[in-house]
Amino acid sequence: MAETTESAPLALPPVAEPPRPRTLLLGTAFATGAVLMCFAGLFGVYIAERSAALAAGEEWIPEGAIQLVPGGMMMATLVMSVVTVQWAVNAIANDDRGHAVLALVVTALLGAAVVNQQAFYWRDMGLPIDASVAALLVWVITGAFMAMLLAGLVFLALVAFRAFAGQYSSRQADGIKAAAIFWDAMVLVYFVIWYAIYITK
Amino acid sequence: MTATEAPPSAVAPAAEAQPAAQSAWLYDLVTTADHKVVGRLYMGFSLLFLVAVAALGALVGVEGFSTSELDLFASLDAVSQASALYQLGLAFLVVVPFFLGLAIAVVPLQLGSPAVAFPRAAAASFWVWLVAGGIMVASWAADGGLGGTVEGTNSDAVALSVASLIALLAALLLGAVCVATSVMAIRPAGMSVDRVPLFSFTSLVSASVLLLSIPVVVADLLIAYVDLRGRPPVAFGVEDAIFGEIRWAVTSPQVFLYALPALGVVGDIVAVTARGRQRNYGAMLVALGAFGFLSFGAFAQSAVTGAGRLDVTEEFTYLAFGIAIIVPVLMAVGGWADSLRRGGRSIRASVPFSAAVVVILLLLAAAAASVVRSIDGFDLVGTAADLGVADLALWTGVAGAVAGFTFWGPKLSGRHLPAVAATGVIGLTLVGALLVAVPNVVAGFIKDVDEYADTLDALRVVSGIGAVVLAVGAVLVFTAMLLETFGRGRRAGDDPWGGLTLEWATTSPPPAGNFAEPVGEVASPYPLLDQRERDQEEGR
Repeated sequence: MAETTESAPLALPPVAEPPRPRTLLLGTAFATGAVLMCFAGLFGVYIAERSAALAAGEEWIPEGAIQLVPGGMMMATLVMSVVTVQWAVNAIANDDRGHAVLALVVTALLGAAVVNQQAFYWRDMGLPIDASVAALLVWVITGAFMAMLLAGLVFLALVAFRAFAGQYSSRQADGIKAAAIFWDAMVLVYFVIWYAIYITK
Repeated sequence: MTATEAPPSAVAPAAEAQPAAQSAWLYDLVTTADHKVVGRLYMGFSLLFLVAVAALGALVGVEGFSTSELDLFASLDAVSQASALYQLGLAFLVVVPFFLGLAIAVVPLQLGSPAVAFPRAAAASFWVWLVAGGIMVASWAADGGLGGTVEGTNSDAVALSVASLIALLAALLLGAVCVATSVMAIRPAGMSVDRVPLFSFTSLVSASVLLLSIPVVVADLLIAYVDLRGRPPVAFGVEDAIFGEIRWAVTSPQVFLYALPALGVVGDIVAVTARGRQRNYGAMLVALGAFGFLSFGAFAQSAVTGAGRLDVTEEFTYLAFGIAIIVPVLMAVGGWADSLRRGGRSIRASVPFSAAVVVILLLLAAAAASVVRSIDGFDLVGTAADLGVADLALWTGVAGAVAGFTFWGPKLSGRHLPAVAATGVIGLTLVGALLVAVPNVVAGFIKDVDEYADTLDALRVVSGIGAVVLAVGAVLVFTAMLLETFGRGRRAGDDPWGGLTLEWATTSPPPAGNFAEPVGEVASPYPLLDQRERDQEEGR
């Protein structure tokens, strides 16, 4: 009978590391959801008031009070910023810190351009805040949007500084992803404003 | 260390500790990010506000004893403002923040976690809530209360009330983000969402629905504030209208959301009392989730459904929500009854269990009242029955808060609440809540006010007596809390109730980091029960 040699027992694969808690991503998702619901409430009031006014045969937003072009420019700028913020997410996923920082800075610059455009829009709008219910709601909604945009810029700035300091990598990219989630939600809000207020009037 | 974690506390050298100790406690208290301290601060100040709100409710109730003249308030306008503060205060100064504080303190312990998610944000949430709540009460006192009229209020004070209410709600939302993120992101290995303890699960559901519904209140208040500051107000900022625009937040179905965590408290207490697992755990989770879904009331916001627009209170969805709420309640109560039945002779009655029974009774009453209110033929929507249902739901929440306080208080402070005070509070809450709410539901049936004037007067007197009873109970619970906080209660062991979940596996009070060793993999919602059963098996 052939000698049998005892072979060493098969080594079990190493115990998998527990998944890293995605705390910042989930927290940002919850907070962003709450902000979106706030805007849902604002839009609900706007749509209800507009429907009631039109049903009563009243004018909602006076003809010529809101120009189309500035709003369209803002939409185009924000669409570009969605591309650049996604560029930042892809760059850090490939451990390309330099391009991630560059993309975040470009996104922030585009956001700053939108701030400037909105300020011009407010100056140009022929709607004093206490002129009518429509004027009040337009100012409240666009003002809330500006607040969300400024919060997004602060978030981007924090994340950009941290990325520049080397705190993010392909394995630790939650900060950039969280900023991208909030930024995308902000652009979604503006899309609804653009369509419901500036185009539909 | 990331930005979401608090820095570890530096251990001061013994030689320097003594002189700095006395002045350091306040600094430590204000700057703490320890979730247990933040949670207890939330609970403590919520109970303080409970005393004020209950006293206000008692004053309004006693004022209602006589309708021919005003005895306690200077004007009808003042009565309206006080009534609005009572409703808003009970929800956002008492029930919601108390359960938020309880969740911040207890949920990380139940999840075997060393801390809550975003501990500094949780601390910031408390301080902003406290300051905003104080400003809101002060502005109300300066004739700035919502619910008043243009002639009877101070416009600047009303604007301050609205602004402080916005800040207060934003703070509660921040706390809700911390709790929801904790349950979703920080769980031990093996604890999937369907193995999370019932209180943690209801905290997740209520935090999530709060994040979906309270921002709509913030939106309404934002519109009102901007309009109020642009003189003269166009529509939403008119003082008469503001409370009407947010009243949906303190009426059915939204008001049931604030009582949801009480169901989780009862679920954990019943399992411990019965000394066994909750059978059909998945069905229980579905019932609690359905309760949260049916409590979402943002679709009924008044600005969308007001005069001349869709009357949502006549829509099938609104009425169906009001009736369907009883289904998950009955499912939950049935599940608890089954647990207790199987517990049999091993059941140990305790103060928390007595409080849990009161919660169940009030919850059934609230759900039944909601069903009656929603029946189209009774025509009760928009009557005093609204207040009756809201009172039952909110005081169910208060009873749940008392139950949670008596159950987890020994874990957090190392001391039991004085049993006499706790039992007294439980009894007074049950009696007072029924006396306050049921007359309002009955009053809703009375359409001919002149013919039944005497009956309405009698109902008002009963309701007022109930409000006084609740105020006495509120003072008792606050006193009990103070006694427990300052070390007068009986010392509690690490596991005074024979707990089944992870929080009972550590010392009372828990150390920094909560657990001496990392928590291992769990296989069910009751890890300690699993461990006991394993030990018994090995012992055989």
